[in-house]
Amino acid sequence: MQILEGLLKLPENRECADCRNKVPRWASVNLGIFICMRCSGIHRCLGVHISKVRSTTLDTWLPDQICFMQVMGNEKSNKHWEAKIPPNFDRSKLGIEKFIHSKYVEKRWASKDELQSTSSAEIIYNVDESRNGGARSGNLKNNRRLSLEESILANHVAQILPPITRSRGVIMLFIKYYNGFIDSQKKKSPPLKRPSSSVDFDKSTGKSNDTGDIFNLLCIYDDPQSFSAVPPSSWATFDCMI
Amino acid sequence: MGQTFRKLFDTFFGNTEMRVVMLGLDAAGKTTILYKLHIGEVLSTVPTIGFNVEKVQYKNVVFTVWDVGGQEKLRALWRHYFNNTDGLIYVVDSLDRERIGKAKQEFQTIINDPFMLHSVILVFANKQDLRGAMSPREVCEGLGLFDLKNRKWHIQGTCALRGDGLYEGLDWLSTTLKERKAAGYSSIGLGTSSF
Repeated sequence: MQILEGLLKLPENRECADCRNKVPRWASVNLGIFICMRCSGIHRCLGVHISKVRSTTLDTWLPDQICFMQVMGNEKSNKHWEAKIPPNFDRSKLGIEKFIHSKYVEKRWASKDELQSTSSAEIIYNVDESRNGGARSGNLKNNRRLSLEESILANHVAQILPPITRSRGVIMLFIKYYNGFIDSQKKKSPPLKRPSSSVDFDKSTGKSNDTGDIFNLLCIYDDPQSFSAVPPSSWATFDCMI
Repeated sequence: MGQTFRKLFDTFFGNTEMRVVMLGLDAAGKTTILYKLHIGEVLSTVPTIGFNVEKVQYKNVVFTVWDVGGQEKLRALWRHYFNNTDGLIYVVDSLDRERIGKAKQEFQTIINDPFMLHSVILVFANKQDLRGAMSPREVCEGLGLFDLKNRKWHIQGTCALRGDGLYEGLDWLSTTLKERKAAGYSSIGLGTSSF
């Protein structure tokens, strides 16, 4: 929680990622952004497949979620989602509801170049959540001890150095991936099967086939065969009999 | 003046009042459902910090529906709404497969509370319009409804935005509560739950 408070004090996170209102106290844990209460209401309408909203004060956070917020943040996220937005774009004219929908659902201004890193970042979030099944993971204990300055440093390091040289906290994830990646290279085996192995934030490795395959594996929600739209007529209702 | 007329009207048409508490994890759609039922419109809502309470009339039953915020730290306050509750409406975001376990955990805590042992349970498997949503049967399994013994429950697939399924749910609630009132509460609590 202290880390979260620290993140909220960063200049980039002092404004809502969408409407620029001051002091955001809500967040989208899969997009990695801090937002204001009004925008959080709009984000909730998008559905959890687009945005998972949590309160920074009223919800308890998993270490993995905090970790992801550290990695992403408003600035980085907007660099991707607002890459093609015209300068001096008047978002109030469009209406904030429509703006948020255009931004995240239609991906109207999203950059294609950065999608790789964003996707990888989402993998970090998803992998850890599924692997831990809601439990706190050991490596994040280190992460909790990171001071704000260290976390900023870690973010920078994460962006500029190859995985093996990164250290502590957040970076443990990258090392896990790196090891998995090396293993697979040695064995020349089919795509990595260990969940942690898909954790990748390095652009160069992010483009590898391994990551791509695992990303597909993880995103089962996108598999058209898994789900089908449920027409209202087939909404079964069940009763208990007494 | 209005009150007098209301009382007169109620006496004439035999309106019954029922207290219902609507709970569920955050972002399940509780407030949207409440206002869809109350004014028939979809309001753009913000997360509920605290509660909303509205009266909803369906047929000749006046439901006093308490919609309580679902954020994790607000869930500890839910139990304060349990006393004198006739029915529970539990709302589930059918798209949120990741948190169905959490939804079950909270659901089981509610229904096993001593104040809620005699309340009937209506589950709204909301957001059925979204692709990938769990079917009502899946939500049933996810919440452990099939394992319930001696409880009166019903699950209804809903889409709060369109209002689909909401009145069907209220219909079941009013019928069931009326039956219970007619029979006296003692008769409930026998038998087992099944289809």
